Amino acid sequence: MFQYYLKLAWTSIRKTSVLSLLMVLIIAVGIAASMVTYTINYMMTQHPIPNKHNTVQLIHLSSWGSEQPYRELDGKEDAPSMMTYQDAKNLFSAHKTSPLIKYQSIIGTYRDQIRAIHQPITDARLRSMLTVNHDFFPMFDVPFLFGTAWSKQADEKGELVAVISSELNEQLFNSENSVGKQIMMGNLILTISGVTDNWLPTPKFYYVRTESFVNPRNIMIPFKSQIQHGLFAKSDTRYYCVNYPTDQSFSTFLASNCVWLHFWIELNSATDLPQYNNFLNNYDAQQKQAGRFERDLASYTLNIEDYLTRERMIPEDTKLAVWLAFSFLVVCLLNCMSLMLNKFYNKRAEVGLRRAVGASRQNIAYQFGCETLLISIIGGFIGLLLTKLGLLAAQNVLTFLPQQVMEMNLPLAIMALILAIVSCSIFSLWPIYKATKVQPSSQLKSM
Amino acid sequence: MKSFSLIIKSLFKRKTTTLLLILQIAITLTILINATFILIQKQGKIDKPSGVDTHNIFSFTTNIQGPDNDVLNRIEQNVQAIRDLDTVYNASQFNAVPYSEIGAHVSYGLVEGSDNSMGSAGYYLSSYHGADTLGITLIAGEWFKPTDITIYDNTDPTGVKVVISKALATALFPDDWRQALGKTLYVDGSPDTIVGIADIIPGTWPSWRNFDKHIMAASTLKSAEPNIIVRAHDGVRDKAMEEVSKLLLQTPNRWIDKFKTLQAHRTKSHTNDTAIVHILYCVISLLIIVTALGIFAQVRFGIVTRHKQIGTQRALGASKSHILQYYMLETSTLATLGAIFGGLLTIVTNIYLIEEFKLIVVPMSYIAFGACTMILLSQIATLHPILQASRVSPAIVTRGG
Repeated sequence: MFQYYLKLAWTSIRKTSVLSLLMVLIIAVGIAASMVTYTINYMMTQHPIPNKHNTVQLIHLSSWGSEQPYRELDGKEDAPSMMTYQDAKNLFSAHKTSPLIKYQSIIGTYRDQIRAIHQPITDARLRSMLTVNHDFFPMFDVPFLFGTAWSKQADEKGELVAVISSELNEQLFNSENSVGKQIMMGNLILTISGVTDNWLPTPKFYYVRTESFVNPRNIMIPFKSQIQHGLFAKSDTRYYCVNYPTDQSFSTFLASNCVWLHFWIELNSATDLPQYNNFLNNYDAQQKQAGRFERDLASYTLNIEDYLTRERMIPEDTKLAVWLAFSFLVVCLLNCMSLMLNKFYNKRAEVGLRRAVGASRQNIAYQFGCETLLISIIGGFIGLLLTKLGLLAAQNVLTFLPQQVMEMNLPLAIMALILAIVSCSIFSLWPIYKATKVQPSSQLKSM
Repeated sequence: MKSFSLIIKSLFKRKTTTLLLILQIAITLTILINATFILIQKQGKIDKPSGVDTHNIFSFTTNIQGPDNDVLNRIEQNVQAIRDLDTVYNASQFNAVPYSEIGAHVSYGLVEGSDNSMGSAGYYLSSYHGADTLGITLIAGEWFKPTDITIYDNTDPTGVKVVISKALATALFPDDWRQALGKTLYVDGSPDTIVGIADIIPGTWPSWRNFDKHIMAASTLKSAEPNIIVRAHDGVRDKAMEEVSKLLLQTPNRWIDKFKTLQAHRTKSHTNDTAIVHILYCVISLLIIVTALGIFAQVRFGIVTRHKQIGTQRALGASKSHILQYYMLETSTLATLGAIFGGLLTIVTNIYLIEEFKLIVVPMSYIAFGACTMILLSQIATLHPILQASRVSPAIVTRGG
């Protein structure tokens, strides 16, 4: 029976080819517009490490001066999202071995001339890097192509080791296994302990807002080695100070109240958070008593999602585009609905005849339902194709976004098809209902 | 007027199609107005004049090696060497580069004390050569003298001379911006003197709401990694870039970073907006096509279903122009109703958009203009079916049915 209706639908579509083609195209365009924007928005607002939603936290210490708040947004005062070297050192050593903390890492930055040891000095390029702890890698689930993170020992001794990205590995070592090989950083020799495997979280939540959607820093070295070797690139480091030091030296900077380090922790379980907060509050109180923390604001922790929201790391414009695109889809569907009314009206004679020879209203509804279904499925598939094209075009236009947010995965493709079928079916209810209302007798006369 | 009441009656009879059309016009209008409004704003931001010689300027950061206490002299030696190049018009050290998204901002006020702050403004430190290097036009007062330039070593210099942008002067004295000249401006608490007003000083963050408000202080930043801006002679920018790079890299262990033209900085800082503008153009044009199609289909449907009625009208003496008038009036009525609903919907969604996306209120003129466009669009889209309606032969009545 279904096959028969499908055949009927196909005949009808071929008979009204222009109208049907128009319907298919309108559905396809509407689906494509909404799916392109939805895909980008969905990919951008994905949680970078969903399984660590509540356990990974960024510490905000209320270390700012009394004169004015560090930042005020929407009438709410924020503590700095970065901290001073003193505080980072204190917090880190307090939980070096602790049942509470699974991982903890400081994040700083540095920039220097980098080349592979076999390259001539003229090939050296200025590159920015992160200075982190061993725990950075397991905490953020960084995948490795070759080797691993450096050891905890390397962390403590401040050894000259490095983890580089697969992209840099391609440039320096032609994508060969470079573990154990050496690179020159200025006048220092770094030994590579691991190569990350295409690690591009979107957004790059772990550092500052301005770097959340740009190319990642391709090298990671131990934080301790930055301190030991006095590696300081002022123009590459984002820092804010209550009083800016007049002396340019690194030691003065380290002793100052300038905030420049991110401090991430991962708790063993989310239920440990109150306990860690207790520790943090105690530390906060101690520092307030010592006169280091001058503001009344308490210190606190934020999980990744809250941090992204507070720092406004997700561009608002894409949300707006989704809103626009879905309204556009509604217009397309309304349009389709009027085309259907048109189409079914033209068929009233056929309906009358079928009714007269015994077809029930359900039969008529079934027949037109099949036709709509067929059109929406074809529209959905063409829409999917257009979405692919649209995303390709978006990659050229939205150059400030990483490529991978503009790729469609299977669930999204299925969603697009379901969206096409369901929305089209809903909007076809009324035209079908109207078609079934045709009186057998009224149409027979004009045959 | 008689045909108007007829139209209303007939529209009531065909509620679904009427409502469908009105709804479609209303939603289209809502999207259209909001999208156009955002588009025009973004485009305006992109096209805003920079006020400087954008095409001939480039900038970079470099490392000045050597002892800390002598760093300013060595910066000046390097900058002077750049100035001596044939292709270079002028060069100067700055604390930040326009459109580079990295810069400084301060709070300002006309009265001392942090409670009397009037807002935030961008902050440049400029040497004596600053105005000439950027190509800034002063519209009142004068530029700094070489002796005015102080040294900024992270302790706020007090009592320096500053040049401010006209936008900032207007913010200080809304009635007459010229009054700002010679006044004391408290910049983060330091009493500075306004000696000049520039037409435009481009800021560092184009998306910042205080982008237009800028202060240039007569001071050079003591930094071993200075930002240097170079203005080449007309048309030889790329050659000048090569020469500057060659000159600087003669020193061992010297690096040059962020070596970019001002045009590139500007384009990059606008990529976000440019992308949105592209998307909005697509949305608007697709929307217009789809809606025009929809109106066309629906009006055609309305006419086809009433062929016989038209025939009867014609048979009873209505002329072709009567029919034409009738259906054009009907379409206009529908479009007007749609436009009214759309206008209301626009206002409602705009309120939501303002809260959700921090947009500003759509001016009434946009709504009026959008409504007119919709009515016109519906007339154009329905021209063909209406013409066909007027050609319906009276004889159709006599045929069967």
